[in-house]
Amino acid sequence: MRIVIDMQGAQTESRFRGIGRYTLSLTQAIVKNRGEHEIILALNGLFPETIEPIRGAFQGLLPQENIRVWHAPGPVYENNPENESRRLVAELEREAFLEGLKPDVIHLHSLFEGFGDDAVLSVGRFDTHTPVSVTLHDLIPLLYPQQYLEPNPSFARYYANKIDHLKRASLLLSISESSSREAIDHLGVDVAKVHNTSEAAEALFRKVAVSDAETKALYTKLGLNRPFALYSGGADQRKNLPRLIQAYAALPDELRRTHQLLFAGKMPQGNIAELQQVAEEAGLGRDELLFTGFVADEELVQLYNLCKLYVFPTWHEGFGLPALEAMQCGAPVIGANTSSLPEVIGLEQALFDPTSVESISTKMAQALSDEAFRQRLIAHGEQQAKNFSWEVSAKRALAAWEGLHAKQAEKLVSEGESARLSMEALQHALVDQLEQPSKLVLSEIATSLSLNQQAGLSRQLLLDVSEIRNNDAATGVQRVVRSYLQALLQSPPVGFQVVPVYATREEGYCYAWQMVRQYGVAPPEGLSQQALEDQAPIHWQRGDIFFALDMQHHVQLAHQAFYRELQADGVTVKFLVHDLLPIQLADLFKDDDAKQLHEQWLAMVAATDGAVCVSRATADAFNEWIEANDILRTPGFRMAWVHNGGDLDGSKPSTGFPEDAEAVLAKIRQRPTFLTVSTLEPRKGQDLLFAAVQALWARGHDVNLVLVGRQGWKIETLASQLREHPENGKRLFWLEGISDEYLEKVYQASSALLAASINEGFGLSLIEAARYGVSIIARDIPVFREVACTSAYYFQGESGEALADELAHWLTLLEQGKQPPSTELHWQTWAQSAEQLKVELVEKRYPRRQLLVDLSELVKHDARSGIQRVVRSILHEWLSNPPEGYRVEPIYGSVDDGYRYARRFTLDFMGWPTAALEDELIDYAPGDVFFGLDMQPQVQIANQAFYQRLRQQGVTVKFLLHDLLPIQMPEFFPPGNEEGFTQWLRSITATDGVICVSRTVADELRDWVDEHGPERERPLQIGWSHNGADIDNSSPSRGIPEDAPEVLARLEERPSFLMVGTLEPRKGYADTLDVFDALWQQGEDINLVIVGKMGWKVEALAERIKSHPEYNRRLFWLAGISDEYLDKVYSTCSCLIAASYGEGFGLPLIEAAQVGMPIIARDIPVFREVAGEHATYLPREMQASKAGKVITQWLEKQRKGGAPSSETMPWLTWQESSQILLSNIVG
Amino acid sequence: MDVNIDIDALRRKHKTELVERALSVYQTMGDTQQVKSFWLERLLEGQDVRQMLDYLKAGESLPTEAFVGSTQNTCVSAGRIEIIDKDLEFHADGRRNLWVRIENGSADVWETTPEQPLFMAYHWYDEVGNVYDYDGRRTALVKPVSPGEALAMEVGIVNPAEPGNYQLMVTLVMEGQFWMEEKSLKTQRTPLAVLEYDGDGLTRHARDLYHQLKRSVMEVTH
Repeated sequence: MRIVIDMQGAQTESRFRGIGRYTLSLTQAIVKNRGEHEIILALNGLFPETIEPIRGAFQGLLPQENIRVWHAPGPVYENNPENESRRLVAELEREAFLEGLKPDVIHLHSLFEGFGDDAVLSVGRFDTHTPVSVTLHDLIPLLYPQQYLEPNPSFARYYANKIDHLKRASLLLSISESSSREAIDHLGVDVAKVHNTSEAAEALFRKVAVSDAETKALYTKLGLNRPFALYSGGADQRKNLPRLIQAYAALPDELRRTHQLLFAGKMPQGNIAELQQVAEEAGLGRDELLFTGFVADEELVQLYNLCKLYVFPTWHEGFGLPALEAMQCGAPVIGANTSSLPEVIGLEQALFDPTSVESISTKMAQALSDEAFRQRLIAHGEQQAKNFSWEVSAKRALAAWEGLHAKQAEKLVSEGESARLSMEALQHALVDQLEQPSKLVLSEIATSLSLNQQAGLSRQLLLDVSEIRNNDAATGVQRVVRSYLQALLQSPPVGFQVVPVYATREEGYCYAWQMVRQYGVAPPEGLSQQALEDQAPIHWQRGDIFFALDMQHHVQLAHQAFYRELQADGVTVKFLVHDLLPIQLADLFKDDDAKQLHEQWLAMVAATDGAVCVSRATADAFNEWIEANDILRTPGFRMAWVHNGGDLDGSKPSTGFPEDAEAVLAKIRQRPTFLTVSTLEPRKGQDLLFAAVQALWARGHDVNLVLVGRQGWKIETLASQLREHPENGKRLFWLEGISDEYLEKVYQASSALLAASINEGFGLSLIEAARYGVSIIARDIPVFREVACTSAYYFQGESGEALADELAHWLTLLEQGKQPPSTELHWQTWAQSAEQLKVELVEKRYPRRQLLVDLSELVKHDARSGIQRVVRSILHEWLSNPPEGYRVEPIYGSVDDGYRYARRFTLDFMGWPTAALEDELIDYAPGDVFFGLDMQPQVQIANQAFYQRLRQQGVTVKFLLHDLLPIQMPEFFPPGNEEGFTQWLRSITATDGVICVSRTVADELRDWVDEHGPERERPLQIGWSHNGADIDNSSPSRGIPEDAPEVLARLEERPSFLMVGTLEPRKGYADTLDVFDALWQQGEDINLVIVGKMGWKVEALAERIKSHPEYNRRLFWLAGISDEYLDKVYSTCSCLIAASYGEGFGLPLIEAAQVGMPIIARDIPVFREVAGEHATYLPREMQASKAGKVITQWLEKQRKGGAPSSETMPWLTWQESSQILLSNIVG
Repeated sequence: MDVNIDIDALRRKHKTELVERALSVYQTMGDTQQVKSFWLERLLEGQDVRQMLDYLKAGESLPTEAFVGSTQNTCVSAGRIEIIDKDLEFHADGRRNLWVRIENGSADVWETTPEQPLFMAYHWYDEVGNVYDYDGRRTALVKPVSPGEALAMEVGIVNPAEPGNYQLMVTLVMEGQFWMEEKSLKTQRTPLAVLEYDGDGLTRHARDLYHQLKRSVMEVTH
C-alpha cells in the first residue's frame, strides 16, 4: 500500500505547537513501522524554510525521494478574501499532485490550517477517488461557537468550510476516545469510520535528576522560593485558569503559605494581566502566582520533575498532552473529569469537576497535604504514561489504513476501477476558478503545475500505433501491434498511463483515445471533445516513454526531428523492430525502394534510446548493420529482444469452412503431408519446396504438399505452375485465404510444417505448429534455431533435389517415429511477452533521472586550464557512456538568468549532428542530480539560493573541488581571491556533497567544514575521486624549434632533472634552484630543465634564471614548447622534480610515471597519496643542504640501479576516473 | 479626459493659470510679465506653491537672489532616478521588478512613512509620448535614503496590456501631493519594446502547460 502523508501540520505556525510535534513524531513512528508499505511525505512549497528541517528529520529513516514538494502560486491564506481564487487553484493543484503520486490512501495530520497561513488542505475537490484519512484533534470551535466562531465571522466561514471537507474524509484518526465521540455525536460520522489512534509525549519528557545548583538557578530565575504547584499550556478560556487561581486561593492558609502556583508557557500579556487581576481579587499575594513566559523544553522537563503537584483544570481538550508529559516526568497529576482527560490521566481519584472551584481546591489540598495520596498519583502516572507511545499510535494508524485499503479493494472488485483524471480535466477546473486571468497568473500556475507534474510519480507510455489507427491491414506486424497494445493497456507498467498515439505524414502526433474501448479500457475522465475525436495533439514531460509499436516508415521518417525533440525534452524513445529483411533480401521485396527506406528508418531508430527486436537474430543483424555501416548510435542505445507471443489471445480467430473442406482434409490425412503457411512470396521459399516435393514424387514418394496463403508479389510463375500442376487437388493443395478455424484442422491433419523462408524476423509459424503438435522442418537459419532450438528438423539444401534428399531422410525418421517432436518447443504467451517488453521499456535504459552537469565556465570559454581539462575529460566519458537510469544533461548558469541546457554546446562538443534545439531553461524533479563539475564561482555563488531550491525539491546537489589552495596559500594568489573562494566554498558546502580530486583535499575540506562550514540539517558527503591521467591526445600541439637538437644534446650530456608547470611561486622553482645552486657548487654535474610558461609574481625568478651563470649551460628554461617537443624532452631527462608547496592532485607525477621517468617530489600529502612508494621525497621545507643530499643519494642509487621506479605507480584512465566519480555522486 | 494631451504642456498650462490667478488676487506691483514668468518657471522646477503665495501675500513680487539660489537644494524632490537593470525585457500583461538607482539630492531624508507617503512609481507613455498609464503601481522605499545618499532597489512594474513600443518613466510620488519629476527630480523616459508574452522565461514543459491553460481560458471565454 502506498500511503501519502500531508505534512503541512509541521510546516505552518503549528510546527511550534503540539500539532507540529504530533505531525513529525507520529510520521516518524509510521515510517519506522511501515513494514512493506510505501510512505511518501507531501510538503507545501509555500513554506520553503520548513522543507529542509523536515528532510533532515527523516534523513536515514526514509529515502529523500519519498519526500515530495508541491507548488502553487501564493499567498493563499483564507483570512484575506483577495486570496480566494488562488486558494481554490492551490487546492486543485495540491489534490492533482497527490493523485499523481498514485496513493492508496492520503492522510492529513491537520486539516484546520490555512486561515492565517498558506497551508492548503482540502478533501475531494478534484480527486474524488482516492480515500483520504484525517486526524481529528478536536471540534472545540464547533462545540463552543460563542467563544470561537461568533466573534469572528470570517473564521466561522473558514471553519464551516473545513468541516465540510472533514465530512468528505473516508476515515478519521482521532487523538482520543473523547474526540472520537465528538465526531460521531456532532458530525454524524459513522462509528466505523473513526479510529482512536491516540498520541504520545516526546521521549525527552522523562524523569531526570535536577541538581541542586540547577534547581537553585531555575528557582531564582522564576522567582520561586518554596514548593510549587504547576500548570503548563496556553491561557485561552477553556484552560479554566481563573478557577484554578480561585481554587488555589481557597486552599488552607498553611498550604498557601508553604507553596506557590506557577503557570508555565508563553501567554499573551493581556491574558496574564487578566489572570493577575483574578489573583488579586481572590486575595493572592504577589509571589503566590508566578508566570514563566516562554520556557524551553529542557526547562519544562525540569519543572515537571520539580513540581510538587501538576494541575490541569482545562474543561475541554482533544487529548491533553501536558498532563501526559507531566506524568511521564514523574509528577503527581490531577485534572478535570471532562473531555479526554479522564482517559489520559486514567485515575478516578485524580479528577475534579472543573466547573467547581471547591472541587478543584479540595483535590489540590488533598494532593499537597496527603503525601501517601501524592505518591499514589506519581506511581500511577508513571504507569499510565507507558500506555501512550508514538509506536502504538503509528501501528494503530497503519492498521486503520490497512482496513480502509481492504474495503477499497473490495469496492474495486465490485465496481471496477475508476478511470483516471485527465490533465485536461484539471486545466478546466483551474480555469473555472479564474476570472479573466492575466498571462502572469497563467504562467505562475503553469510553472507550479510543471514542477508538480515533474515531482509526480505518474508518466505516460505513449504507444505509436499510427498504422493500425490509420489503416488496419491485419498483417502479421499489425497482429503483434494489437496484441501488445491490448496487453499494455490492460496491464500498464507500474507508474505509467498507457496512451495510444498516432501521426500521419502531414500531421503531428495526436492521442488515439477512440480505439481504447475496443481493448476494454475506458479513456480518462474529463477529456475534451477534441481529444475524444482523436484530434488533440499529444503533450509530454520528462520521464515519459514513447514506444513506436507500429512500423510505418514514411510517417515515422517524417517525424524524425520530433523524436529528437522528445529526447531533448527527457522522453525516452524506443522502437519495436520486426526485421531487417528489406535490407537483407532487398531483391525479393515488392517495392524497389524498400531497402533504402528501411535503412533510413533503422538509422533513425539507432539515433533513439533503444530498439526492442522480435528476436535475438534480428537484434544481432541490426547491430551488425549499424557496425558495418558506421551508423551513429545514441550513446547508451540499448539493443534488446523480446519474442512475440505464440497464443491467439487478444486476436479473434476467424471461422468458416469452404464446401470442399472435408474432402481436402480427408486427402491430407491419406498420406504424409508437408504443410507450409504464409503468403506466397519469393523469400518464403515455396518454389524450393515445390521443386523438392516434385522430386520426391518423381522418386516415388507418396506425399502431399499443402500451401496455405495468399498470392504475394513477384511470384506469378510459381502461382501459375501450382494452379496448372496435374497433382493440384490430388496431392497438391493451395488453400488461399482460409479461416483460422479451417487452418487449425489443416494443421492437425498434416505431418510436418515446412518453414523454408530465406530469412524471418521471427518464426511465428513454428510456434503455431508446436501448438498443434505438428512436427517442424525448417531451413537452418539463426532465427529458426533461436525459436525452435532442438524441436525442429533443420535442412540446408538450396536446390529441389538436395532438399528432396533431406525430406526423404525425414520421411524415414517419420516411419521410425524418430523425427524431432515439436512438443518440447518452448514458446511464450503474449502476456509473458508483454511483461518482458515492460521490463525492456521501463527498467532497462530508461534514463528517467537527469544528471545535470554544470559547465558554466566551459560553455562560455574554454581556457584550456587544468580544471577544464578535467571537465572536458569527465564530460566526454559521461556523455559517451551514460550511467544506467540517467540522462546526462550538460547545463550552464548565469548570474541572473538561471540554468539552461547546453544543447548547442553539447552537439558541438561531441561532434553530433546538428539539431534545431534551443538552450531551454532546465527543469528538475526529485531524484535528479546536479553536479558542479566546472568551477565558476561568480555564477555558483549567485545561484546559492537556486541550489537550495533544487535540494528542497529532492534534487541531490554536489560539487567537484580541485583544491583549497586559495585559502591555504593565499600569498600565491591574486589579492581578494581568498574572500571570493571562501564565499564559493561556503555555497558549495551548503549542498549535499563535495567530491574532491584527492583524499588529501577531502581531509583538508573536512577540517575546514568543521570550523567554517555552514549549519545544516542533513550531513555533507565529502568524497574523493582521483583524476584520470590518460592524456587526451586528440590534438597534441606540434612544432620543434631550430635549436631543439642542440638543447636535447646538452640534456643528454649529463643527468637532467625536469620540472614541468607554469612558473608561479607555488610551484617551488626558487627552492629547487637554491638546491641546484648548492649542488653545482658541490661539483655535481647535473642539468635542471624547467618547462613552463611565465606565470605571475615570478619576475624576480625569471630574471634570476636568465642571468644565472648556468643558464643554457646546465640550467634550461623552455617556455611555451609544443607537446611534440615536450615528448622529446621527457625521453631525454632522467628524473622529474615536483616541488610544489601544494597541489589538489599530482598530474605531473603520473605523466612522468607514464613514460617511466623516476620522480623526486616535495614531501606533501597529496604527492604521497599519488606516488606512494614510487617516488623519492624531498624534505617539505626543502632546505638546500638536506634536499641536495636527497638528490645526491638519488643519483648514487640511480647509478647503481636502486632508485625507486615509477613504472608500476598506479593511475586511473579517465574512463575509470569518471566511473569512480559517478559512483561518488549517485552511488 | 483626453489622454493624448502632452503632459508637459498640460503642466505648463495649469501652472500658468495658477500664477495668473494668484497675481490677480494679490495684485502685485512691478513688471507683471517678469513676475509671472519668474514664478511659472519656479513652480515648474518644483517650487512649493505656498511659498509663492507667501511672497505675494507679503506684497513682494520677486524674492531675493538668496532665495532663488536656495530653492534647488531645499526642495524635497531634488535628486535623480535612473534605470540600472540590464534586463529590459517587458512582456505584455505581465508584471516585473525593475532595478533602479535613486539619488537623494535634497536636504530631507526620503522614506516611506504615514507622515511622508513617498513611493516609487512610474508612468507609461506610448511610442509618441502620449500617456498610456500615468498612475503606476506604488513601491515603498525599502529603506530611508539620507541626503546625498543613493539606493539601488527594485520597483514593481505592471506592464502595458498590449505589446508595442512604449516609454517608461520611473519616478517618485508624494502620495496625494505631487509627482516629484514635476518638481526637481531628474528622471527620463526610457523607450522600451513590450513584447507579446508567450511563456517566455518558462521551461519547455511549463510553457507547454501555459499554452494549454491559455487555450482553456479561450474556450471558456468563447
